[in-house]
Amino acid sequence: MTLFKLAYKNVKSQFSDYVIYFFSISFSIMIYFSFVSMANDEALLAAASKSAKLDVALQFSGVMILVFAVLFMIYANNFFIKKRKKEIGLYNLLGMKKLQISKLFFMENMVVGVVALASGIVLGVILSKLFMLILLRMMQSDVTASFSFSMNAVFQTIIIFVLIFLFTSIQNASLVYRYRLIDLFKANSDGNKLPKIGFFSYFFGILGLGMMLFGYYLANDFMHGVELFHNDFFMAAIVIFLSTIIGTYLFFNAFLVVFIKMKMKNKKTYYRGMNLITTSNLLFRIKKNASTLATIAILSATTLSAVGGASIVYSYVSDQVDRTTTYDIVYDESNPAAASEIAALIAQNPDHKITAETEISYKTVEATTKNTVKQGNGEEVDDYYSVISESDYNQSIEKNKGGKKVQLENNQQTLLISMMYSDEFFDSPKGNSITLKDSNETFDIQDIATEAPVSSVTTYNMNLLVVSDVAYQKIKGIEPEYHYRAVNVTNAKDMKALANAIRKVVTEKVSENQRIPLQDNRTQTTEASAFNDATRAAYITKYEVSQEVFAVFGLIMYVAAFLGLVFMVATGSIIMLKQLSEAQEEIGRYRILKKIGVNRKEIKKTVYKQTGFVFALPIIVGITHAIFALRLASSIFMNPSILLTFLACGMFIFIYAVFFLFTARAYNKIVNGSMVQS
Amino acid sequence: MTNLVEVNHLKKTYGKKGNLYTALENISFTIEQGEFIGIMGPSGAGKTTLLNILSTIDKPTSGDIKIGGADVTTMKDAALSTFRRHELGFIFQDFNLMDSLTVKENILLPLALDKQPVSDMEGRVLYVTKILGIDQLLKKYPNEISIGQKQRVSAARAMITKPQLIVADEPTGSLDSKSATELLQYLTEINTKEQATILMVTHDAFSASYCNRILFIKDGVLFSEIRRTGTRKEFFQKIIDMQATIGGGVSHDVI
Ligand SMILES: Nc1ncnc2c1ncn2[C@@H]1O[C@H](COP(=O)(O)OP(=O)(O)O)[C@@H](O)[C@H]1O
Ligand SMILES: [Mg+2]
Repeated sequence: MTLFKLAYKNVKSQFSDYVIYFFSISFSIMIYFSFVSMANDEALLAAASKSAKLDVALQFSGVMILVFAVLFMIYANNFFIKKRKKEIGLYNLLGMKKLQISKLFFMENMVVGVVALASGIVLGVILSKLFMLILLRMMQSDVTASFSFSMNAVFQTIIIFVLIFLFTSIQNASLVYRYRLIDLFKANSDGNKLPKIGFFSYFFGILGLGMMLFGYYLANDFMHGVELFHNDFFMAAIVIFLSTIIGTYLFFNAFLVVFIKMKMKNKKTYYRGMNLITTSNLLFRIKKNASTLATIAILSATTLSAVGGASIVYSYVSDQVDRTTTYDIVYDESNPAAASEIAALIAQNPDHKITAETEISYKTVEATTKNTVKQGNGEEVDDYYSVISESDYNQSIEKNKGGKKVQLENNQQTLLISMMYSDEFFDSPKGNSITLKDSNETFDIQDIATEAPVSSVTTYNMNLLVVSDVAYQKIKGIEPEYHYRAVNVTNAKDMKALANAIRKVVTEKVSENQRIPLQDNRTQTTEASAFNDATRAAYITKYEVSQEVFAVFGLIMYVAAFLGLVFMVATGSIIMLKQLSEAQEEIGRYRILKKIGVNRKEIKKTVYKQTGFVFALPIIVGITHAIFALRLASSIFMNPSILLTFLACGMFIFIYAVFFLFTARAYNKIVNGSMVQS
Repeated sequence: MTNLVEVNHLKKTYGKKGNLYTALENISFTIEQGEFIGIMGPSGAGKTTLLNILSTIDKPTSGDIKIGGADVTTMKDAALSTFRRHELGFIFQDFNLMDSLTVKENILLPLALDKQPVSDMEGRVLYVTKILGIDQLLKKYPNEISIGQKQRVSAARAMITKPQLIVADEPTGSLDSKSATELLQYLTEINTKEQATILMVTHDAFSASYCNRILFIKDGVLFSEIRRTGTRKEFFQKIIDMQATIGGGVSHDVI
């Protein structure tokens, strides 16, 4: 038999093991290839290059995927080779030369690698168009994904992965030289020492649980937690991280062991049916894999937090677009020629009917009020505000059928509009006073709103003050008063043509530079505010705002999701491999059980139960970690809709569950076979 | 005496058509209640195969077996599991203890599987471990005790359910001669005290000399049978003589 044939036969006989390895590698290659393909796709890049550094993001993701893939492949490879030490020993005894064995292992790994590479690329070619569509959809781009096959991407993928396979193959090939024959036979016989628990187990168990809970406690009420650390955010964050991570390791290494041992003390349940087997085996497996399980818990927590966090930011940004741009088109009426042309464009466009129209005027003032940031020192701060009249404000709200109307009690009351306000981080400014700098006039803040009346970029992205019409008349701004018109149209999501037409008018008639800096009448200078660049847009379409924002955040979301996917698959494969190799070691035990009268159904049940626990424990801990992290993130980002977060995290948990089912099935198949040894 | 086990025209073949290997051919015999019966024969004769089939671990190609009147060859898988749990006790050459369980848990496992009351289980464990002299080891794990002790734990587990039949495949095979002698004495004690019927496969004449009766098989067929009449020493000599007649594969220097 030639070496090649032998290698082929080996792969075939160990097929079930290889399937997982093979699948995971192909998957990584497929994802990597897709990212490289997209990074090489001219049409895609050209379409998205306006605001997002798409090619950089894609290349970066590619590198990250590569890092995962390499680590995973080295891990999986080591794992396989450990299982096969005996085989090497056997070949050796049968009189194969070391060089031959070495060549055999080299060849075998290369065969698997090349096949995985080929199928990964083929799948990648098929799926990269789909991935591109998803990306464009997330970026809310209306570019149509053209499918272009990139030879460049193929070469890049082949070269990199062939190098990796060469590396692992050489590792395998050198194995036979690195061990003595006797070591090769001892590979799997690690002492199955049973965990004894003493004082330290209890101590560390309680400590671990305590540390995790402490981390949760701090994260749950973060602002309060920060107070414990003398308002040092960074310190508080570090303590949460360390406490949770160390807590997790202790939880798996000590707490769970103690917990199961305690459960065993209850003989009524422990000495009942298969519980004896299930519980003791579980103890055994957890003890043996405690650190791996803890690592998986932390990795899955990280993955879920990253993907969930990206979803939160995505939802936040999406909400923020709605909060800051409440009308579809807003334009400056100070240039009558441009304004009338824009009005005509909108009126004459057959695809979009006007559904609402309003006018809004504002003046800009400098004013002082108390800083209400929680944990801040509450000092008076000076800033610019745009002031609008109560009737303009209420009209814009009414026509738009959204937002919060106001009924000011008297001429000294004002409504503060701040799109960054959240209960979590600010004390309510209600009842505080605000003093205009030049006139020394003082208003009481009657209420607070978080939605811009028409759009925030047309009012310098500043906070706004709504005052009574009488008060408004009296206010002297530091700039001339501006008048804007705001329009809602039908099919606003598809108004690319209209948005472009408007942009063209503005560029020609108003200015090349569409952001106009604040002009202070008092000093005749151009100024910037403490909180923003204090430029005002002469016109805005919600369509363009969305385009710009989603190009960036859609990309972030996409990258997070795909990195998470690779991560989750790698994690799932690792537990799966570990479990299945243990199954191999446990065949004997289950054979005993069957001989002494345990039936197949009972064995299947205990296998599913044990595997279920091994899979569930880390993910439950990971999910709990992630929930606290995401709650914190959600509160930072003004509690956006969490539907997307649920969907994203749900998908990951689903993938994990699929791995569980496959593992339990395979496990059962391995241990629940024939009783007769052959 | 009543017949506990009846074996009729048992046949077992391995492999597929064209490459058939007959491991057992036309085996018939009976075992009486309370007997300590041995099965001997050269290596590869089919002893383990016979024992596996008798203990319902493997299925015969043809023929039937009745244990306590029940035909085990026609029973379904689930019923067989219950049957094994209640009516059979196993002692294996390599002990087959669960290393994740303590000695006590290993022994009471069959009772626990039957969900018996805890106090009954513990009483029974104490009783059998006293007989076998391992009552001091209950809290230990299998890897903390000697192999002689392991085999006695295995015996304790086999007898804890008061099975109709205890089957033992080369139970002394892994033991040194001192532990082997001890185990055989204990088995004899179980046999007499508990009236347990024991079927023991061995290729070792010394071990076999503890039995009341021995069946010899060779190349898958029942070759002959001898019964103990006089002392154990005399019986041992008879066994040696029979082995010489059969020839092949069995060493004489085991005592
Ligand atoms: N599962 C099996 N498949 C094929 N042949 C088997 C199997 N089990 C046993 N044999 C063969 O049947 C014969 C009897 O084996 P066995 O009963 O184990 O003998 P022993 O008397 O040594 O215990 C041997 O030749 C063995 O190779
Ligand atoms: Mg045998």
